[in-house]
Amino acid sequence: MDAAEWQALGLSAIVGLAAVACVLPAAVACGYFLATRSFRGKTLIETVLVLPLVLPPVVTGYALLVLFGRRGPLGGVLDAIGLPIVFTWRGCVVASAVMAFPLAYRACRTAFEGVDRRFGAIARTLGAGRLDVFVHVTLPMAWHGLVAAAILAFARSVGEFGATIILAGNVEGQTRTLPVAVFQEIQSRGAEGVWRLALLCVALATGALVASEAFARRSRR
Amino acid sequence: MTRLEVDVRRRLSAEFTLDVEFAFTFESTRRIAALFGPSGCGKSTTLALIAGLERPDAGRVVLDGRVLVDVAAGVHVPPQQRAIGLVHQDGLLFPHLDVAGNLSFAERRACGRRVARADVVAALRLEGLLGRSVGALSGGERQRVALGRALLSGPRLLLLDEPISALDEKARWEVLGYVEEVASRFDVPALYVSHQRAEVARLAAQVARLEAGRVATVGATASVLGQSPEAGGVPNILRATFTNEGDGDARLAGGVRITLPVRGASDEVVWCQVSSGAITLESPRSASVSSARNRLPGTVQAVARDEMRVRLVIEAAVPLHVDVTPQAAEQLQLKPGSAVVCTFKTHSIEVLR
Repeated sequence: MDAAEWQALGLSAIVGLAAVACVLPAAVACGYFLATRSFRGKTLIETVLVLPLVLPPVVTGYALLVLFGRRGPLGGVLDAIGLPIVFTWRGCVVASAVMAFPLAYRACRTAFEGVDRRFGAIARTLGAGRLDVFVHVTLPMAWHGLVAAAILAFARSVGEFGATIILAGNVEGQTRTLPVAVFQEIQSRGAEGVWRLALLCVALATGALVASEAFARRSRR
Repeated sequence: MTRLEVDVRRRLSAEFTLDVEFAFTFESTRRIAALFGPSGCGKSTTLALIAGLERPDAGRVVLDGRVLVDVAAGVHVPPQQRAIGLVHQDGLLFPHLDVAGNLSFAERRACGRRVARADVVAALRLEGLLGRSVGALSGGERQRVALGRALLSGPRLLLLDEPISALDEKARWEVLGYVEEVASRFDVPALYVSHQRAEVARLAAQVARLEAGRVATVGATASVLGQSPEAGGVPNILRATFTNEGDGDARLAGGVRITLPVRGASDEVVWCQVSSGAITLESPRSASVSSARNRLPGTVQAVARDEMRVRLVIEAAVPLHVDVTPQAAEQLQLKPGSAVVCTFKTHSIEVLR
């Protein structure tokens, strides 16, 4: 592998980890809330949360560009405090996080649905408040499922292309992640030179899926 | 002395509304009370309302003068502040903690009166289990740990929701022994829920019988179980102490001698059961010769008649339920105060161990 390929791999790893760090707390919160509550409008909220899964990624990227662009409602503020998103590595993280969220949220919800709620009830009779039950009973019992969710989110982030190229562009050393590098290779040198990067993507995705499934299986036990 | 007052209503479906009202006073001579009734009559929901895990639509729950729920006044003390322990039929030990971890969980959060961990471990014989994972416990061990965990939370009242129904026969009676032991040793009142007459008869001094979400009767165990309408006999649960090594001779409370169908060691205590239909009544004046080994003189306390059966409560050193036909009751002229002799065969006794 040449230096540019290593750079793309390194950037993808950093973006993937940062996206997981951003996405997991939100996915855990939403997954727990929707696994344990019933209320009017729940289906609508669930639909909105998984929307990025079925929308064309470029449309999601466009929506993010409108939101985080220099004249966007969030972009203006972030630009002013020196944290621009568009065409920066932060843009890669935002795009990856948004695209990975539905998968992470769904895996978290499944993990929480697998925890028998009677354990929480018993814990409350033993003197534990709601937060105490969540931290010391529900979270540890859902732990394997949450790790599976994190790995799945990482894999999705590393493979993210459509929204990333719209929001973060293709700047070598800055926003050229693995899939963007594959795109770049095909554009500049044709399909022959891409196999190493393509194989790397396949290996990363397979490894992540195997690990995620192993954790999910332990969580169902 | 502890007093529990429950008067709650809760609509569970379009067809079923729970509407129960009862009060129990727990004293040192009667620490265990029972909610008895068939499956689906609302026993477990009543426990959940007392523990605070569910909210009633209307009504009050008061424990020792402390209002735990009063819907009209907007009071709902959260479960973690009620100091009411709950033991479920599945134990519900936390699978991510070992046995010691489960005990510590409760001990660290105890909000009522503190109970020494070493005493609980000793009373429930948990010493050898502390390092074990909860998945490696037998059903009986699991329930002992669940009981210990509930005790360590410092409860003012223990709720036992069919705690032995998932266990095999041997473990059932063993765990019941522990329930009795801890209620007495730690002076904790307990409300025991079951649909099994034998368990209720063995453990509880007072019973509320629930039927389709309502309290049908409340009172002393012998009287409530005697009035229970289900077909079949009422189990008479007897505590017997073997008197001799190696034979079946034993004595009941009050010194009455009986012969059991098994051998035991001298002074060994066993619980046994005789169905109300297996006991024959004789007039004390008739000197009949019979193969029945067990003859307990007594006095008729109560008589309840229906079409095919007369059910009597006889005070014969221990209270016994006896079912006879209306014809037999008439022939012997049985009424409260009548003197009778209760006889039953040794082999009609089932020893519960």
